[in-house]
Amino acid sequence: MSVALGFLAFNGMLLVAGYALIAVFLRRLSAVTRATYAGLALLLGAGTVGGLLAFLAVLGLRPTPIAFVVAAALVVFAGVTVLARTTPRPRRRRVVLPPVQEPEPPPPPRRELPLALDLATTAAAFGVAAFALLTLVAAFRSTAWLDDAWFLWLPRGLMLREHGLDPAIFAPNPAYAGFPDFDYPLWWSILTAVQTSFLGELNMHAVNGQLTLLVVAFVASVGRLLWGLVRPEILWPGLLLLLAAPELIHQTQSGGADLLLAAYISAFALGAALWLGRGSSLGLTVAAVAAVAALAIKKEGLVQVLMFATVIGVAGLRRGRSRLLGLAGVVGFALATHVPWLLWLSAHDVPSRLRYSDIFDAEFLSDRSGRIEPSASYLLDEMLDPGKWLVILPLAIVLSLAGALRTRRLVWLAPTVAIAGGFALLVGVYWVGQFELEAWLGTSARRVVDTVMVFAAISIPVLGEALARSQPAVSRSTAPEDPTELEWDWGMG
Amino acid sequence: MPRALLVAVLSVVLAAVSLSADVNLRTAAKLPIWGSLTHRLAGYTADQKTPALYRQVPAEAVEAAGDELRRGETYFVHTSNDSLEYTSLLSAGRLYIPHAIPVASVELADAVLSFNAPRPLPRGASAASAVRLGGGLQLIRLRR
Repeated sequence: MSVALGFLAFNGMLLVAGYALIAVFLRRLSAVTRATYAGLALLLGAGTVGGLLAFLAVLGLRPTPIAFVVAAALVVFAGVTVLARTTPRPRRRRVVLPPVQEPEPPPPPRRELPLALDLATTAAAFGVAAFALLTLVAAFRSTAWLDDAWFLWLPRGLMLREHGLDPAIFAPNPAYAGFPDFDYPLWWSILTAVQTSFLGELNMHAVNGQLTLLVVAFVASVGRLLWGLVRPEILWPGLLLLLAAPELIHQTQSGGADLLLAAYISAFALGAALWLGRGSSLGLTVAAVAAVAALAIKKEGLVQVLMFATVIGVAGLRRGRSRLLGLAGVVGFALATHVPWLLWLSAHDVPSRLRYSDIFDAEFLSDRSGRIEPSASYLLDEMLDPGKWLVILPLAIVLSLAGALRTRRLVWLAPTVAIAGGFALLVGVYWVGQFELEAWLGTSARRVVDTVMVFAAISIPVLGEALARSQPAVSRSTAPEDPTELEWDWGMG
Repeated sequence: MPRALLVAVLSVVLAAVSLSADVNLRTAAKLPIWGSLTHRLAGYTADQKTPALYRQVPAEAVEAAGDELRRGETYFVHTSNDSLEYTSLLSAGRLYIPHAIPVASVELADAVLSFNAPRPLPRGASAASAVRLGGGLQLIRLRR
């Protein structure tokens, strides 16, 4: 099988698995509309199949190409079964589950845009397509610049494919020349190793291509999920701001897992917000799959999922118990899929560079308090550098604060709180971590800010739309309720 | 109509940047922050498909060593004192010979992957047979 065919076959299976997973939400849509869900299907397919293989690897299954095909087939089977059971059959007497709520939001009211705004929107949409295409081309022409790609992720996956999760190899063992970071989860290692099997050769271009395809799929997913909720003249420039960020493009050529963690955490946050705000079952599904994947990608995923779930849950407290329980159930499900890995680490005494117990050691923290300021300063420099992330962070915070000031509603501050929480987590890691600080920051800070930055970027179109529809606090009390606003309301307040 | 015209103009610009080395180089000079992109378009310098290891090691020879080692056999990586060279060969072994297992001590090894070392074998080890794989790499089976 040639490299190109192998790449297509591998991603084709992920795509089919993802479509099967969301088929129940798409059944009444036209073929063209279904096609616009391809990015979401690929993202969810990779999340589910990779997550399933990572789960099964801990239970003893080797992630071979055959296991991959079987896992994808299982996901397809599950999706088709749910679809069949929820599709009403009028001529047969049988109990059917209630139909799942369709995700398609009502079409936004048709408005004639001024010519300049229409052209700007068109240019932004073109820019999104162009940057997606060029970033993919560039990734397929680059070898991975991050040593983790060839020193940790891919070789660990290849050895996992050959030997299974043998503790003699994958846990500390003085006899073997072990890997660094034994406690890193398995998702990206497994996907890259299985992809290598499909390609028939070791190909770092394809590793970058896979990483970039999933990042582009994430951006397409955000666009799809927000379509109809955010007007195009806000949505397209918002997506462009993310895809055109120089640091995002640079990291699509890294071969690392940081951008993927950022994508799945942000997809989790968006799905959770859609579920809480609009009762979108598709949003809940996205949140579930994204949380499972995020936990299986990097160990930071655990605290990040919990932090984002908490902030979004608090912001949506007024949306009722059932929706909060739904979100809690999703987080609980994701944690349950992660438990076997944590148990495996514990059973084999796998050390972590970051000990959670240190967080509760006041003396330890006090002794190392000198690490806080330089860490915060370094991270802020990374996040605020317009040559890396354009104006994503300041714009997200300004929109959030502007909305809060204009409407006097605290819920507007949720994105800012989540961004601050993500930032505080990063500073905390550098604070309690055991490495020499300067070298550690120099080799990792630019990558670990990804989650905060990608989340901030996808907040921008949501906040922009909400701000455009908001009414000042003074007039809101006297103005008649606008049904259109309710329709578009994210319901986070 | 204005929208179609805009798309046509942008398409021409995109094609020029993507396909013309001259236009791409000028764009890269004016927009250095997007260098990661422009350096991979028209006139780009080809990047290797194989991993960019810290040190040059003969990847094809390492791959050939994989034919000599059976599944589950162990090997010891023996290089010069340059730790980056050791890391590079160790990584190449894991990437190209994932069915065999690198060990930390030569006493536990079935074979030695020897490259650029002052002596082909570490002290205390004795060879049963050796295969020269090219690029200065040897796979030496050990007497147990």
